[in-house]
Amino acid sequence: MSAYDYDIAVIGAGPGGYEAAIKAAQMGKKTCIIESAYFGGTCLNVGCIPTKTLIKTANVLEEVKNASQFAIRGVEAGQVSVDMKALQARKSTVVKTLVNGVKGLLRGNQVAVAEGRASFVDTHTVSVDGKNITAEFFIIATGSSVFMPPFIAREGDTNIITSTEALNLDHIPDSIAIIGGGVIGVEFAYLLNRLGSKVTVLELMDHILPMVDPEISEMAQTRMERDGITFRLGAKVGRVKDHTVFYELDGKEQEVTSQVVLMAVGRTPDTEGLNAEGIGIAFDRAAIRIDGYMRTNIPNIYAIGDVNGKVMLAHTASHEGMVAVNHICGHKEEMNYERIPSCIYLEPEIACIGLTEAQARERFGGSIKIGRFHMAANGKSLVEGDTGGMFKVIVDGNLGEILGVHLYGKHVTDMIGEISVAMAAEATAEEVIRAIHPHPTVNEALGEAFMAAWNGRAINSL
Amino acid sequence: MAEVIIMPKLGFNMDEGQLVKWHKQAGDGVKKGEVLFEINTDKTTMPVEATEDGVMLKILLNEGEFAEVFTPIAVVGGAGENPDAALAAFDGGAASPDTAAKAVEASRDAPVSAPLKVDAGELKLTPKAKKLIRDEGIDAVSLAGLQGTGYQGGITARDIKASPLARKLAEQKEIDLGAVQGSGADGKVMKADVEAAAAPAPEAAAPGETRILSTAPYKGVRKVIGERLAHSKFTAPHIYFTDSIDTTAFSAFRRQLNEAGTQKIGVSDLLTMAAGKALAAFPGINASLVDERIIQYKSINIGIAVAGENGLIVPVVKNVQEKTLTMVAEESRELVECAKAGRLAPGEFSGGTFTISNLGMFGIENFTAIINPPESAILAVSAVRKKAVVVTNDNGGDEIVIRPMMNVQLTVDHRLIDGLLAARFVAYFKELLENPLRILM
Repeated sequence: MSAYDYDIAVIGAGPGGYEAAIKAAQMGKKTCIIESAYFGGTCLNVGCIPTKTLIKTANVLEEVKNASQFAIRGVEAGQVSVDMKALQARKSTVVKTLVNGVKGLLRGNQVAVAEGRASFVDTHTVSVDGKNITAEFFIIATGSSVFMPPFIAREGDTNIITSTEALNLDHIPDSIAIIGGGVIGVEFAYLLNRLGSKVTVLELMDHILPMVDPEISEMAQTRMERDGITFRLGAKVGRVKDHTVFYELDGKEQEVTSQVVLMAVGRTPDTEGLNAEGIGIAFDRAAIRIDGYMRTNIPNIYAIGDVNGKVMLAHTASHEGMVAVNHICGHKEEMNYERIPSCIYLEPEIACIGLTEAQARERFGGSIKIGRFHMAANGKSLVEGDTGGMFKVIVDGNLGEILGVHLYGKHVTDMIGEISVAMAAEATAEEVIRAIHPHPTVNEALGEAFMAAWNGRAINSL
Repeated sequence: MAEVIIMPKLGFNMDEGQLVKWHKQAGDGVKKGEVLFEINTDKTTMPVEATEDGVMLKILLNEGEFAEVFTPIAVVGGAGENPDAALAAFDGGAASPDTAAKAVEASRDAPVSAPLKVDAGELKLTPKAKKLIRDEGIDAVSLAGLQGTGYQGGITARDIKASPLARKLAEQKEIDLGAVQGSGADGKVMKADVEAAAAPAPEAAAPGETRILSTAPYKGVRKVIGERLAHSKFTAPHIYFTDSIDTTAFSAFRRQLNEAGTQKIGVSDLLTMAAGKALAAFPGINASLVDERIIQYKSINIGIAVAGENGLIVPVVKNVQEKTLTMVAEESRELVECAKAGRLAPGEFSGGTFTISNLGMFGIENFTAIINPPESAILAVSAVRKKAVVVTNDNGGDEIVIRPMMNVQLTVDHRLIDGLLAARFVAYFKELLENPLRILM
């Protein structure tokens, strides 16, 4: 009999925590999960899933408006609109279904559930609403919260909201200023523009979507600009006064006044009330410091997901959970942060993995090979009615190692997994070229892009 | 087809061999069973016979030169054949010299058959097998009878699980995939594993692990020294005899000698002369145990241990019993200089009958030396230090005085030298040094 209540206790039931708990239980560990508010975490409740639900409606709206392009008669584009209350109801149904699914999965795997906020008493004990739970190992998966930058002053009666509130809008604001041109900012810009808002995006860097190769992010930006979104790149936001955002651009102060301001500059690890410092857990700024196996400085305590500040993505957290549980069970498999796919849900979608061309050149110098394939030459894209995308692949010119793949096209978020598998298996450009890609698909353009990189030319383009 | 002759591996620890003498010159006819050449191992000289008839086409190694085992040293074939074609085939076909290894384990008394036959396809060795042979020092010929498990008796690289990228990288970097520890799913070899295998040494180990500064192969001089000393220490029962010598008179005497003559006389020179005299007085120390026979030598050949670049070298002053102090001083100075420069001829560091190891200049109080076989004794000389010693004064009473004292320790092989003999030798040696004029009398 163990001296502890549980072999493993997981704190936080987001995509990192709940999957780690299930994995731990499947490995034969007596496991408990502690959650204070949302089963499914940010992702299911106020992140990935609700955003995509809203974006789906925006996409359907667009398709319906353009129905005539597909030879459909009887739809008056001017008559089509979105019922925000009904949309919120649909969103809630989707979220509720998935949250219940998470609870069911935990139950089905005999994971004990404790509801409440955990606070460390010592390295083997947490207090959950006054009740102590002991465990041999802890996995901290408490996630993150929206980062409200202290360097942006707020004056007067501001109208700042975060992504959480933005997901609950029951009406479409006439205008919105979005501070931050990362994935969250750009997806909301796309969504609200489609739903009818006048959108201005203020980004400090000189390009949006930093993980995407600029060649592709610029294509997406151009398209969004054509749809009416205003991008202010290199804009340094200084303050928000009432409904006006003041920013510095090209050496002079400029301003934008809008009905709503969305703060989307990023997220920050959330360890509030955890008393992690109290038991001596080491931090790097706000993030819990970990090693390649997710171990904190305290050997029986691990930290996965947003709380370790590495890569704040649900699938990263889930994989980190596997790494942590495997390590606890004696299987050493170090986390690899170089092959994490990113998906951006615009229309068409963007998906990428690995290095950008500039990053690859920095590391490998001139020995890299680049391949591009434009969707204009892809049959399925033409069928889908969207040929504006492009695939770009970056391979090492010596061995053909896949260094980076950046996709912009119809449902490419469902396609990047192929490259994730190829990279995990260390397949080279040659293996991808040898694999048979089905026709007619958007996916077949991937094989072509690799041919363009490795052989110097694709088959179906000149 | 002309055949390449390689330096045979004549013992488990042989990394290289020295060619002592060619019995055939280029153009000479060669008959099976004739002696082709002789090689020196660290132990002995060995004649090597031809295994087939032919003509000596080309000689690649001069007499006195060294070659790594399994590397080509000559080509034998039919008259008029092109030896370079055979060499090219050897280099190209044999990815590893081990493939060609048909070296024969030498038996001490029978001449060795020359490893004549070289054919790349002779032994189907995978990289893994080759690596194993290299690492374990396995005689490749002993594998000739083995049945491989792969296609046509070989094992292919496909039997090793590796990612496509790892495979390509391994090929490019010439890494044996079979020897790489895989870290991927089910032990699959991944790119990082090949990179790690290609890297010289880990820069930093994980905390708690032993960190490596550098690694170097245990071979050559280092290995010869190591094996000789290990052999000596584990076969000859060592016993040790220590005494302290008052060097007051010795130092004064050396000073006088150096003031009087032109040839600089070192401490070691006087020690050599003193040892020579003592050995002449006790010939039982100047002896060897060889093949069940105890040999006492007339020649007093004294080796002087010198620290060299790769380890210890012991130049030998021969027939000290016939030489004057000046001659010994001159000869040993030349030998030591050659030894330090690595230019000693084999005859100049072999054939000793006794060794002096003088670490006095390095300030050691006392140390124990291991006998350099086939010698039976070695003298360890330590630093001179001022000590309080009890002497008998003119009135016949005890008195404590400060004297420069030097420890010497004699190590002898107890199989042929008993304690009494060793003790008398040390006492006599001490008497010589404390009354140094007697060294030259």
